[in-house]
Formats: sequence, C-alpha cells, structure tokens
Amino acid sequence: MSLAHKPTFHLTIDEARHLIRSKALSPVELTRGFLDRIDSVDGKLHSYLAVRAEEALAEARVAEAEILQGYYGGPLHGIPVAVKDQYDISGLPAAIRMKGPNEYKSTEDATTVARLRGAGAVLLGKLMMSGQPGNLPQTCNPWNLDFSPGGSRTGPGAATAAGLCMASLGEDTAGSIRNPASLSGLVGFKPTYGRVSRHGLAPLSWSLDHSGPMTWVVEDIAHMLQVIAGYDPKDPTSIPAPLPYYTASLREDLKGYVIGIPLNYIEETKPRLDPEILTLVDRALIELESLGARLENVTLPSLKVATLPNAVIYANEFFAAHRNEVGRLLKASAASRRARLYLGALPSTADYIQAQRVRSRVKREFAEAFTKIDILALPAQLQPAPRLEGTDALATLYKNLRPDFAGPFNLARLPTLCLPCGLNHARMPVALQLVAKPFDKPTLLRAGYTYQQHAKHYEERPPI
Amino acid sequence: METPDRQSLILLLKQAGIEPDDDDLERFRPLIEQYLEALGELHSFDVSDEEIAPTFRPQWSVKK
Repeated sequence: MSLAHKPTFHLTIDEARHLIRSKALSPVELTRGFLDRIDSVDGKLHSYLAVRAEEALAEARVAEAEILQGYYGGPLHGIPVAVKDQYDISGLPAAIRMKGPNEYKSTEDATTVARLRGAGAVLLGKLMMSGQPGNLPQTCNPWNLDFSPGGSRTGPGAATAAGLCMASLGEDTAGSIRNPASLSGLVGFKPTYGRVSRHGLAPLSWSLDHSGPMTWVVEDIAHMLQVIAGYDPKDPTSIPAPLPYYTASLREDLKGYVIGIPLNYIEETKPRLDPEILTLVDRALIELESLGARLENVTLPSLKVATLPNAVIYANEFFAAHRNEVGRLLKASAASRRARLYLGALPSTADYIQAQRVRSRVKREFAEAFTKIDILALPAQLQPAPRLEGTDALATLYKNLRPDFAGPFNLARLPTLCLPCGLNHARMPVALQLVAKPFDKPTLLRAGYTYQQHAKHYEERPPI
Repeated sequence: METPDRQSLILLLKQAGIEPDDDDLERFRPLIEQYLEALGELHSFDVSDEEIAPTFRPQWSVKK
C-alpha cells in the first residue's frame, strides 16, 4: 500500500518521519488523528489510563512550528507516543505507585520520558498495566477483543498494535514487553540491563526491570532506542558504554551469522508449548537459514531452572521495595500484586541467595554459548493469547514458576528482540524471539530487520 | 519444601508485616504451595561453587 493510501494511524515512525521532515505531514494533524482514533476505539480496547489530549496537541504545535522554522530534531520529532503507567510523567498521577489512582502525582519525568520529549516526541498519555488499584476494565487484544493482549490490563501492546500511538514504552521484569508485543503482533525489545535508564520507573524488581520499546517494525525500535538508550547518572545501574548508531544495523545481511537453537530446552517446554507456535517458529528459523545464517543446536543445561530464580528474585525484591507500605498496598492492589507480596514475604534469605547463585551459573553458560553463536533463537511464547473470560488473575504467577521463554533473559539481563512470525489458525499473532550477548543490539536489529523484510508479517494489521 | 500449616503461615506473614486476609489466604494458598515446592527444586539444583552474580567479562563473549 502506498503511503498516500495508508491511514495515518497505520504509518510507522520510519514512514512518518520522512513525511514530517518534508512537511508533507503535519505533527498537529497526525496527533489529532491519533487522539480521534483513541476516542473512537479505546472505549472497546481499554488501553489508556490517561490521555493528555490538550498537552499532546500543544506539544505537536511546538514540534510543527520548529519544523516549519527549519529545525528538524530527528526521527521522533512530532511523533505521537505513549508510555506504560509505570513511567513518571511530571504532573500526571502514577496509579501504579499504589497510593490510589489520584493521590500521587509525579513531580519529574522519568529519564526515558524526558528523552522522548527532548527528541520532540508528542506524549499522548499513560497506558494501563496489571496490578493497578481500582476497578479498571480489562484491556482487550486488538486482533480479537475476546482475548488478552498479554495480561489483565496491558496497555502498551494493545495501544500500539491498534494504532492508538506510533510506539510505546513498556517494562519487562518477567516478559512484560515481549509477551504483549508477541500476543499483539508487534516488535518488542528488552535491552541489555543498564542500557536504558530506569530512573522514574516505579520499581517491580530492581535487578530484573528492563525499560524498552514496542513498535510495529524493527526500524522504529532503532529510532526509539537511539533516543532512550545511553548512560544516565540518575540511575545507579546505568552503564556508560558508547551508544552505536542503531539505524546503521538495518541491513539485510545474515551471511556468516550463527544462530543457536536450544533444542533441549524447547523440548523441555513441549508439554505446555502450543504445537502451532512451534511450527511457525520452525518456519521462521528455516527462513533465517535461507537468508544466510547457519543454524546450530546449543545446549544450556541451566536454562531448565532459569525461570524459577527470576520468580524468586522478583517476589523478594518486589516485597522489599514495598515493605514499608505493605498494608496500604494490600488494600489498594489487584490480586496478582497482593499474591506477589505474599510470596515475597515468606522467609527468603537463603532462597534469594540460591536464586542469585543460579543466576551466576546461567549468565556464565550464556557467556560461553555466545563464544560460539551470534544469536540464540526460540519461540517468544508458550501459548497464543488467552481468552479474557475465565483467565485466572494469578495465571502469570503460576506460569513464572515453570520453564518459559521470558524469565531466563531477565535473569541474565540479555538483550532480546521478539518479532511476529505469523498468525495461528485463529488469526492471533505468534512471535519469534532472538537473544544476543550484552550490548549486541546491532546484531539483533540486523537479524530482526532481515527476517522482517523477507517475511513481511508487518503488512497485516489487526481488524479493529 | 514442606508447606506450613495455616497458623504457621499466618505467623510467617505477620512477622513480615502482612496482616493476612482470610479470603486472600484461601485464594493464594495453592500458589504459595507451588512456590514453596519450586523453592525446593531451586535448592536441589547443584551450582557447586558458584557465587552471587559475577559481572559479565568482555573476554567471555569473544567469538572464537
């Protein structure tokens, strides 16, 4: 479809930036289009917690004036984006900070939010997340409103896939970027821990929380990372490593790349792994091979227990982070969050230490594996999107106790890209997951881009 | 790992600062049981002399 015939809410950032720069697309009109779309669609989807309509239009007017005056600030200038409620936006309530929906207002932008603003992005608002207080509606999957977008209230995946923002920021402690992105047909990126600032992000688990983007295509991940990644002195875990020019990685070339597949681990999950997901991921791997990569089996003995320490560390750090307000939190929080507080409150010192020792082993095994391979490839999900009706609010917590495809990479803090590899028989998205060694985003972006350009799954949009 | 009985569980939670709600305790008990069972698995995994969270070293990941 030519850009002229594409609805503006289906434009990618990479497409819109050229139109904005050449003044063929007005950031004000673009923003107004997204606000109208939110108005007409989000009543069914429930992805936004708060929409900043007036502020967003004001920001778009500023961006437009700057561009008309000849100042173009880069690919995100005038681009409407949204962030998960977990991110502080100055002056807006942060419901997830657990003090009731309107009691707490952030006084400062999260670093990532400030960087988006600095790049000229337009902030449309805050998106739902699981565990928020109050009787909020469940977020629906834009591919089928009867299905979940990856959690009871997971706004970023649903909003981005439905064209209610051009990109969103999510947060991944045990798969919460990759899972909604996979179930919504998006590209999701969990960066190396320390690469993207967590300052101004409400903590779930300090050592597992990863901030990252969800977009429609790999190019847009590169544009978002270029702005949000990089050292932040306000985050004590931020790493002062040089920042590559991410869009330079967007070349279709996989020759010489070795892709490792953890066959034993995938076999381990088979009783709970949907066979159609396996078929679609296998097909994607064959396509990667046909594009020049070499596939190799890789054995990672500790992977089979690597989800569990992630769950233990998550529960313990979550409880520790909220220990002094636990009474109030138990009254204000959803069941999943209350349950995690209960788990974290159980006697835990030796458990936490054992979890960290297993973490060391897992990291060591990954490091050894990446001396032989460039990328690890595996499914991004065990199952397609579940139906909303009848889903146990504690399902994610149970899932976190058994081998899965998300937790091990939070535990090892490795950069991970998931991207669509097809639709299943019910026309719900399925995703492939690619993992690289720390800070090797360029390899991931190149592999993801090469596959995406070949498979073209981005051409199909949800029916909403 | 053995699951504590209801009274012991209440005591453990109270020690940690949680005043358990009866309905929550009932609802979360199967999850707590699975969690404690999983902790047993975690401790049975042999990590020999592994210590806590070493950092990645650049030479670990140099492709040979």
